[in-house]
Amino acid sequence: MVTETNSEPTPEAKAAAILHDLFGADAASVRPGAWKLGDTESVLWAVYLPDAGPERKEEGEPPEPAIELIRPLEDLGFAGGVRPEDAARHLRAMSKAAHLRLTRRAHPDASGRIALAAVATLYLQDLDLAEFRAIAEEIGAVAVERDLAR
Amino acid sequence: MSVSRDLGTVCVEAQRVIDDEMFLREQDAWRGLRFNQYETVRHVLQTLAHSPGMIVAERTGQGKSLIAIAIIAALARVLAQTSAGPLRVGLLAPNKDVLTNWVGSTGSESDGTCLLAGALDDDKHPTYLWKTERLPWRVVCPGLQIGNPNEAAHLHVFADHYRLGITHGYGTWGKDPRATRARAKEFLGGGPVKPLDLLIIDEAHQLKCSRTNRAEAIGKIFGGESPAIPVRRVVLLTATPFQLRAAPELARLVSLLRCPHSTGVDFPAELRARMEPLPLADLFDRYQRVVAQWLRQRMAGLPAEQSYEAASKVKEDVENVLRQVIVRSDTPVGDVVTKYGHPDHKLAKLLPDPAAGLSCETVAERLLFLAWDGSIASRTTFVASEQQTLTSSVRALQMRQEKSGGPSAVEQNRRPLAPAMVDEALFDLTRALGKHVRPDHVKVRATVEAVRERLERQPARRPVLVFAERTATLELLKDELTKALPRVRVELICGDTSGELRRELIDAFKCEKPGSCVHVVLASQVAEMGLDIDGPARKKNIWLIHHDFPWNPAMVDQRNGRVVRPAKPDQQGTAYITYPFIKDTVDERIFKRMLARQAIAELLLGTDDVARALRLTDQSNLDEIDITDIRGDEFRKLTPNLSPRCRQFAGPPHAVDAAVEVSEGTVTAQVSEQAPSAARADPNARPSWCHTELLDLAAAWASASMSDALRNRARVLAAELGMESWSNEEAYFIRVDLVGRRQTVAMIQIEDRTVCLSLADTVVDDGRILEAFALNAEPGVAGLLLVTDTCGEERLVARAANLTGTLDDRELRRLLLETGRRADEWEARHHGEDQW
Repeated sequence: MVTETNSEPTPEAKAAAILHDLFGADAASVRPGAWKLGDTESVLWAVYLPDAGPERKEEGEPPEPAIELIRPLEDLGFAGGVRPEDAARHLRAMSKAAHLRLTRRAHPDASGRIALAAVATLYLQDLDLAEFRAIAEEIGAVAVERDLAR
Repeated sequence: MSVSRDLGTVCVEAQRVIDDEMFLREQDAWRGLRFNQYETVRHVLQTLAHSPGMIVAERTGQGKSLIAIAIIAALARVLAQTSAGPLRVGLLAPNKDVLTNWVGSTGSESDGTCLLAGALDDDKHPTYLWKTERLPWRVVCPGLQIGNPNEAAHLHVFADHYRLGITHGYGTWGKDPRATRARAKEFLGGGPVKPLDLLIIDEAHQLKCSRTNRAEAIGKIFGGESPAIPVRRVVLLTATPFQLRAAPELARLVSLLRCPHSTGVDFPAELRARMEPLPLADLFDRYQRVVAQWLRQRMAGLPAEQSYEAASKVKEDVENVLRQVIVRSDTPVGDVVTKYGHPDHKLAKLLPDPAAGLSCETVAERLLFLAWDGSIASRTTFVASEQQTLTSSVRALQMRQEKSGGPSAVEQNRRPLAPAMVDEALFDLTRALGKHVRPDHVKVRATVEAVRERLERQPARRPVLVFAERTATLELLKDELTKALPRVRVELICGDTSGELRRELIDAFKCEKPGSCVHVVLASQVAEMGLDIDGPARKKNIWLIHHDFPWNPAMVDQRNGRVVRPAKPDQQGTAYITYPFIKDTVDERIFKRMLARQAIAELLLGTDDVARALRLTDQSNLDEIDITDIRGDEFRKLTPNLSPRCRQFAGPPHAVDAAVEVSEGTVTAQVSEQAPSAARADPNARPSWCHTELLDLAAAWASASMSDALRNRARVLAAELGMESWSNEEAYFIRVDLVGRRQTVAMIQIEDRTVCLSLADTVVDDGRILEAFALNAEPGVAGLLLVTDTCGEERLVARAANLTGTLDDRELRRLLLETGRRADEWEARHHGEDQW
């Protein structure tokens, strides 16, 4: 009989374990590979990516599993429209952040709506918990700063 | 190499010396010049090759003295190499304290690099910093070393101060040519009168008025058709080349720059004509008008495109004129919070909000101020300080008169200047003060209370510096603060404080050791120039309170420069600067007038301070201005940029050749600092792949010069990856190879973070900006964002950073590669080929 207790956990299981370590019961799995973190006032999401490596990869390079932390900043509806001047303003406002990307993407709640979101990629292979915490803090701070600036 | 004694040729050669020997040298504990200082030095040398002089107008604390020393050292080096020396330098500083600082920053007698002859305390005799034939000619000062100590001395510096120093007794010797020559000879130590190669005048704004004795005396000795001491080049150092009346003040400084015309070096006739007071005034007035119009239209929400274009055109004219004679780096001023109201929310609770102004509490107190305020029109400016003493501290006057037993002789002499009715009213009110006016004045009360709140519990590393115009006010503040804070050490620096004691007190102010440190320094104008009164290096923050202020904003800038020292690498803590004033009194009038004057000067020298520039408009309220619609960087483009790099980039002289040696599995990088032959041929050469824009970005972002540890890691990483690399003080540049395409990535440090930057685009129109969002959707540690560089230009940049102190090699490599890749994705999409 083969037991699974000594086998290497899958990257996704590792991601779940990390989130559980950091957020405990607040890390609620909403669907496979997607978690909702924290309370309803300032929701942070985590999504598991099996391969976050660059698109233009050289052959033979192994996949790079990662967690993407996502903080939806603004609901852009189903159309996802943003005025260019607003986009420039948002990108300018990011200049203080060290690690985040500002993007439009499908809302992680799978509602089909588009969100303006701050996103950070954390590679599981070299994931450091302290860094995870720092990025979670930064992503939260961006949301707060942005709210104050509005 | 053969170099004649022609200073122009020497200046050209000196640029090479700067490139080869002073820039980016990393040895032992010291580093080379900061990048902006290097650029300024090089720019000045370039200019002096064909021009009689230059004004170095770096902001206070940016290392003007260091820049001047580097210029001296480079010129001396060239002459030493060709045995054409010694370099003869005249150095004039305003007073003994500032001159003492020069001695302090250029070495000491004990290490044999600096020889001090004469006595700084002797007003009647000149002081020589270096004067020897066999002195090792190297110049050593913090952060800078040049030269071979074994070579012979080729530098003579003749130094004196011009407040009672070289100009002492001008009235008696100025009219007699023989006496003037004797004075000149005395300045040169009694030796033969030969031309000076370089005349450096520190704090040259002190000579803006041509009718003062000091200006006339200096003009007599060094200027005119047949000067007592001819000079070949002039460098003026001042953070505030003009303030009150920009055109005549600048024209006056330009006339000082023209001292070398007797030796055949002068500005072109066309430039001389443009530098006359009237054409300058016309140009500056036009510029001020168009900028004010644009600001008004923007504030009113009106279309402002036309006025923006008009202002841009006049700005270019101003820039073209000023760049000929002034250089000023466009560098951040450091961590400073300056508000004309409360510095921050915590201070707001303590210091009354000066945006609204302090208020007088009783009718008598108010009447007193109104009486003095009303008398201003009939009084000359020189009695303003007396008025300020009254408005800022009534009790100070009482205290002083109690001590001295009545009004001073000066005050008695001034009495007739005041209208009789005002004097009578003042007399009556003063008699009534004891009964009806609360003796602790509102501003004194506010300042004392604020300092008490700050220092009551944790006085350590929370320095406070207070400037006031009059000693009487300072004494009162000391009295009150000592009563309120018995365990806090409060010290006074004023005219009565000896030079030695001043230095002791300032050292104690910088000390962190409990029991021996000074927590609060109360200073008069004697401490406004040339001193670093910036508290301990590891302070939490520092407060500067302008308890009252002079009419001349240059003096306010000088005061601010005591605590804001961005060129000092070890300084920590934000500087909070506040200006409390009393509403509806002369205090408010002085304050607003000063701000308006500051606005004009700042506008001409280049600023992004929209709030200050609004003083040019009719905006009279300080607290009801909404400037959120005008971005600082947008406004910056409308003001002249006098930075050397925006005119002609004088980049790093040579790439660092990284050769890789692999042995037993370890990789070591051997770095050669020898310039490649091509770069040697062209001293301006720099790696063609490293763009000015990226250098500007790195300079704008880096919060500290790069640590040796990170620099070495970057070097090894570049070597491992087989990529070209090159570095300057702020950054390590690596040319990342992306399967046939290349991107330059700058690695910098921001506190304990390692940040990688790569330029994606220099101009991004709104129509394409959304595509940055699309590229940011791709996973990875790097993101695209918009940032502003040191020239105020907005760039699209890819950046990545670690967030914790730990950063292993794998992660460093990832930051580097993904940053380059992210920038390249944009570039591939929008330009098709390698751009940056």
